[in-house]
Amino acid sequence: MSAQPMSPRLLGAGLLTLALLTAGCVSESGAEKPETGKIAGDLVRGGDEGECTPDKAGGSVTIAEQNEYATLDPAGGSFNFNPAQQIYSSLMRWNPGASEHQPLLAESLSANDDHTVWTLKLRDGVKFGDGTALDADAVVASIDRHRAEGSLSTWAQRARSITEMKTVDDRTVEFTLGAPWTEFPWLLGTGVGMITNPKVDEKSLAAKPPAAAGAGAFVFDHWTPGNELVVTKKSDWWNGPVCLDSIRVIAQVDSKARKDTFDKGEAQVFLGTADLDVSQKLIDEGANHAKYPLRLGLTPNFGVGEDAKTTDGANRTIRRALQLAIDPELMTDRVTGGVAEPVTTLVSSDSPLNDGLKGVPYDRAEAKKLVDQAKADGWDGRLAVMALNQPNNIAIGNQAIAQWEAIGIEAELRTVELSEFVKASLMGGGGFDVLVSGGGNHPLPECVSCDLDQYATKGAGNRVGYSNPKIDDLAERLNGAAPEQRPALLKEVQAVWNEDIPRILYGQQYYMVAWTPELKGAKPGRLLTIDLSRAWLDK
Amino acid sequence: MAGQVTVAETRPAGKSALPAGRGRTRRAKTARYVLSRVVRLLSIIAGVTFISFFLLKLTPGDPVATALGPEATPEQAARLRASLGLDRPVWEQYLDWLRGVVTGDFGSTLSQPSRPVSGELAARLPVTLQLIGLTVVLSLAIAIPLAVWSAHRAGRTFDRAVSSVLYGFVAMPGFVAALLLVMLFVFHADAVRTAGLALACAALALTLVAAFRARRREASPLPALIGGGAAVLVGGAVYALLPEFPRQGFVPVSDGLGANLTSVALPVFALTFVDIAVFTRLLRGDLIGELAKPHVLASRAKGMSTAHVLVRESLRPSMFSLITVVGLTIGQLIGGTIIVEHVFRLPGVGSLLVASVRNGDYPVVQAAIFVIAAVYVTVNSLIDIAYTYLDPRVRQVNPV
Repeated sequence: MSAQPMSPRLLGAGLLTLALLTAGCVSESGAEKPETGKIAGDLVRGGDEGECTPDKAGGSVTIAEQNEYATLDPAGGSFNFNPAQQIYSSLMRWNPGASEHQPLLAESLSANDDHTVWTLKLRDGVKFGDGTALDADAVVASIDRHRAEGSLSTWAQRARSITEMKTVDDRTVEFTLGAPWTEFPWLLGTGVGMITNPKVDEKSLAAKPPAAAGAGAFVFDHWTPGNELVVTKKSDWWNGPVCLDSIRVIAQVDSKARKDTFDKGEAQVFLGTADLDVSQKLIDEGANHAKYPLRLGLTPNFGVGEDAKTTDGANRTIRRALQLAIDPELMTDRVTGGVAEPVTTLVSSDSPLNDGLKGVPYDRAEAKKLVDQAKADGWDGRLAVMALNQPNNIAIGNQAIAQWEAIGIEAELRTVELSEFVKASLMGGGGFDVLVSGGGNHPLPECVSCDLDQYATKGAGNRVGYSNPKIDDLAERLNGAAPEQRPALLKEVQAVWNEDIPRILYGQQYYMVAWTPELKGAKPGRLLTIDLSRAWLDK
Repeated sequence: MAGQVTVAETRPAGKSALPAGRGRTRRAKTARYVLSRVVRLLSIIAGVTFISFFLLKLTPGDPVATALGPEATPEQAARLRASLGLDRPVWEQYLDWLRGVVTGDFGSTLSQPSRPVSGELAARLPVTLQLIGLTVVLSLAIAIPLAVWSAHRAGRTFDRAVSSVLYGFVAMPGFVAALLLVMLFVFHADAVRTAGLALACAALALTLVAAFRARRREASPLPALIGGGAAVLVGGAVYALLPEFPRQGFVPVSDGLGANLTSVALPVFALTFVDIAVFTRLLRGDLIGELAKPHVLASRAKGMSTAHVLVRESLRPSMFSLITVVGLTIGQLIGGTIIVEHVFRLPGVGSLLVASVRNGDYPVVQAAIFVIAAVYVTVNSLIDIAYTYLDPRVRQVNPV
């Protein structure tokens, strides 16, 4: 019996099968479902390993952010916070682990009895990059840029709560406020507290701040928009040795791709906003992190600019129906992969600010009654929902619409790009009744009064035209409240909230800064910011 | 000898054979032809930028909102809008832009911080040009041999196998190819290496068996050794030489050629899938037609080698459709690499264009469209002109 020639097809198929089987055998196993974590519990992991010493010097760190922002000028608008933190540092720093504001460039910040006058004492020896002392005059000049008429600063309105600034001596500044504000230190941890050198041309700060511009541990090196922004270390920083040679900031919109970059070791710091399950997975996988509580919800349009008082969002009956129809369990399961806490309270159940808060319960039958009532009063039963053109926002919008359609509402989802989203929020004319905010807003432990300020009639962050005298009164009381008074006040806010529904809530989750355990001494600060001035890479 | 006389009579007359005065006439015709192409090119570019400017004004992007972020006040937005000149009539903005372009100034970005548009493009263009250059070269390097051999073996196993794989390539969207490459070569590189080793070992074993059987049948073992040897080499190369590919980012050539090529390798592979398939299918079809022509058959009948018949006699006259498509591909890729730029976070022209459209940053969009249109039209004009040199029939219609 003669041997048969081997068919090329058989040979090819055999090789292909073998290669695929081999590749399959050595592949990693599938991803496991992330575990649900406490929201407020374990807010910070890592960062307490000590500080840089000369023997630890070397290496570079990449920070992967979601978006690239427009300017490096703290008083310039949409602000690149992380690179700016390294360049300018800040007078105060929010410590999310200790839940308190701590002096950074400042030595101390103290208030009078009614919190209307605050005295800032600067640390001795603080210097800008050119060796000029960062003194009281520099502080006043820098903060004045935020307060100035025509300022584009994100914090302009809040900075204008300072009615007077007085230099007591070279290292002391006295701030007089228009009204009591117990959380004033927060302001000096934002861009307002990033002091710029008055000798430097203001116009250079936006794109190419010179080495003399800030008192931080790093100086601007280069910025190629769409690619990277790099800062390099100061060789003779006033506050001691700097270990990291450089810090590179990149932007990657897609959070899964950003996590890939982090997993591959091409980024050492990950900033997580959308796609909350990705953030939770990083925590589960052992990344060091700081969590920033995040309130999940949808925002009714109460009428801004051209939309003033013409939207269905301004109708309280409809708002209540929309809230009652939302099943938080279903929403958080579908939208966050089950990692969020399904509640309609203002803060999470384990937050120190939660002293028995009770949200609005899910009640579809009651929601249907309210819809029928609104229709009887002349409403056409239609709703325009606007969402950012991002997968998670679209998922939130569709999920909410599905639940509202079940109570007889005809809702339509309109997706827009960020700039149109912002424009419609600022100017109105977007023609929407409800706004899907992918994240929502922050029950910020770092500034509780800032949170409620978003709903005060003249609040700096009130973007949808909400107005309620009861909330205005509570916002004012919260501004002057001591920390121990805040939980009780929040209870009052929740009662008004449940009655008037300024926002349709369905859960609590968090934004997150995560960093690799090899990066030691990283100090998380205010929302999604990390200070790497004394950090080092563990080799 | 009679044949030589016939060829000399039918071939278009060369320059030396022209009577006095015809050289000048021909140069004048050439100049007119090139000039008409340039005029057409400029009018197309002007038309494209005019239309794109007004279309852009209909899209919802707003540079002011992007610059100030969600926490801005309406007063801040109005102030910045006025300072950027966006409160002026649209036609006035267009004429301003046009005046600048005529004087060689593309203006500054509206996105903050404001930067010269020419600098933005100059920073992005090399990335895109490198992607396009490597994609086209790699695609041609793979497609031409595949097409030649497929045409030679038309209807046989090799041709059918190549066709099947190429249909798969054409059907695969760019982003799927990109993500597959990331999954395999970035996150499962060890699995790919192991698969390469397994392939090499298996190919070696099967080749030896096939060669042994061929010997027993007193047939030549050469085909099995060549095919199997190629598989061993590919598998071995994958195992031994597969580099560490980055997940994202672009490394400029100034930081090292190796790092640069590694950073663009996966994006280029992702882009080549479709091009390899299109180029191969197109060239294969033309070659099959060419191989059946009398001059090729005559060449074969004279006992010319297969290589001579395929490469010298058939390939050159079959290249015209391929050249046209390569030109179109280059034009499309200038603005069409956006998906791979996004997946691999490469700072190219495509991503700049999309970001600028989103932000309503019309000076950047206009300049990018200007460059894309110019490259597209220029490449295609060059191809038109090249035809006249490559193909005598075209020269008869458009005398150059």
